[in-house]
Amino acid sequence: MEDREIVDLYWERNSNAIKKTASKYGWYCKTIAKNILGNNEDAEECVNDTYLNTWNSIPPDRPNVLATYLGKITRNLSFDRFRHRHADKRGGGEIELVLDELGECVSGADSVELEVEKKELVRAINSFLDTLSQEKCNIFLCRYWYAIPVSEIATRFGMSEGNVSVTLNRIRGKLNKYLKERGYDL
Amino acid sequence: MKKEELFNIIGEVDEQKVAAAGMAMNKKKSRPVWVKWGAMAACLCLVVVGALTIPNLKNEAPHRQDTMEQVYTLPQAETMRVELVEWGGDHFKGMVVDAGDNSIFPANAELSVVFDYDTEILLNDGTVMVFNPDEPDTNAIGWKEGTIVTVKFVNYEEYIEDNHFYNHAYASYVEVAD
Repeated sequence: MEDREIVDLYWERNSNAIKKTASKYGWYCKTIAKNILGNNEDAEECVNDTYLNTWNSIPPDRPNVLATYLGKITRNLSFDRFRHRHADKRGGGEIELVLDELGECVSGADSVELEVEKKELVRAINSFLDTLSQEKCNIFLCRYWYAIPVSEIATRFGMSEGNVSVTLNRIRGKLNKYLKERGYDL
Repeated sequence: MKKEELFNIIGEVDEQKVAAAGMAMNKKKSRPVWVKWGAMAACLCLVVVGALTIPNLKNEAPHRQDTMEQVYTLPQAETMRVELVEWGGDHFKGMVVDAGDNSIFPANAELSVVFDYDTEILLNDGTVMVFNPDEPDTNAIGWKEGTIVTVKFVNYEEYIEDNHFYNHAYASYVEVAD
């Protein structure tokens, strides 16, 4: 079934919308949740919460890219759950490594970011991604959006793990420089 | 800023880019590193054997150069004219306005024209720039959206109409069309 038809089902308040979503994107959402949470049980709960949130947000939303719309909800729910469960301990699997890598780009200090400033920062990161080759942009997002393990990225892109790590390291360095040059001192 | 905030902010980036990365993860096939070197060694053997046994390969049909990534190689460069739609880091998205002598991409096809290590770019000042994908800098080229570009290519991926800009032609030479 086409994504547009699935979205139409949500707008018609037809409960088949959730079945069709689960059938087409259940695996996709679960992969994202599992990358972040590291275990099946929590991942499944987050995926079920994703369906509920989607049911509540469409309408009024009408997503352009349904996969990313669902993935974003799953990502946010999973990361909230991760933070709640790991507030005072480490050991959350892949996401810990992803955060440690991103930690190289920020000071770690508390900051009071206004919503408008966050939007500007998102725009700056989008512009930065436009400067990368398609493959490097994909590798960056696979790691820092989808939280996919380096070993899996390496396999999928036909690269060695070392090569992926070096590529990510260089992109983080470039991102840091790019943002600093535009006045963002993270 | 804390790293968790940066992770959240990255979660807000352009959904098209996120979708493209997701598709790339699904599309790319597993290819251990040794396969790449093994394939290169096998190709070398084929070239040596072929050169000794087959006097003329030039008229053979296009063949697959790399079966895992479905990159095909033409026996000789073909030319088309492409309208530049949008720049990327090492490529531009475009639409074929004149298929020229190429037999792969029809008129009105959407595709990405990818620059590789040996891509030669005739700049507007008459100098030729050889592209370096390790330090991609398409800003230096300076062609604006809407420019008609003559593209010569030898390597390409199979054209599928529904793939839109995921169709790839690997340019060997590009210049602004007359």
